[in-house]
Amino acid sequence: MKNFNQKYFDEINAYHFNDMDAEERTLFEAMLIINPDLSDEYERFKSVLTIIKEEQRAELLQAFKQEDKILDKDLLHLTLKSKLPIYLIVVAIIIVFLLVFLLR
Amino acid sequence: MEKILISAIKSGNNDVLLKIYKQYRNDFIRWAISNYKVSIEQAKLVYKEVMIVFYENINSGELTACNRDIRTYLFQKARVKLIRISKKEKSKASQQPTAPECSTPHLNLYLNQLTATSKMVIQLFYINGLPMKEVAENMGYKDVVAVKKKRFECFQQLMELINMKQQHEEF
Repeated sequence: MKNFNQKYFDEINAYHFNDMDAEERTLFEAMLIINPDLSDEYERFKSVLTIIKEEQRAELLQAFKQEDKILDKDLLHLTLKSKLPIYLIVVAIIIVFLLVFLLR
Repeated sequence: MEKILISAIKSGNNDVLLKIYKQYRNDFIRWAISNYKVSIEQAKLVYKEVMIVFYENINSGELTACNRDIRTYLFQKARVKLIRISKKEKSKASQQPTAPECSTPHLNLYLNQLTATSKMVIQLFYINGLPMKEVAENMGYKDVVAVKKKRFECFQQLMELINMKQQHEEF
């Protein structure tokens, strides 16, 4: 990826974030068609925006994950409750094995 | 009250978002499990997804104030997702339950390699979507021209980091 051209940068921002009037927009769109450098810069601008948004999303999810460690302690009973059938089956199997062992 | 919180998030205060996340998270999980019969892991993921949607809707300007309160907003937003998961689970009851998708994008952390000021400028413009004038006020710049110049510099720095990473990957 090449670096940005300052000449186009402000115009691209204004266009992308709807900060142009109708006439300016039409002119800019025409420039996008006839100027490959400008259209290339606009594509690169959008791809950097995507990276920024993805990183922010990932950072937020990371921050949520940090909080989860503390918050999960309050949910321990729910975890146990959801795993209760599994625990019961395990206990039942152990009892059966013990009984078989003792009766032999 | 809700308006103040939303406006704080819009101004780039992520601590407020985390506070809201913590405040309603466990209530949400209990509610989701008891009403929609989803697993804890599914409820946790749906809550995260809804919080991200909440954050993005604030930044895009779609959400400026909640009609009722933030709690109701979050729970309502989650309802459709929970119903969908619940139906899916019922239809394949014999299969292993699956968690909803909440993909964590790959963390390149370009933003964290910028200076704190540059990161803030990028965040306020491109994530929080604040107008020039507000960014100038928030960051203490004398005028809009100075902010425009700074924005360009920050974007260039970011581009350089991306270029470096791409070149490194090519070798």
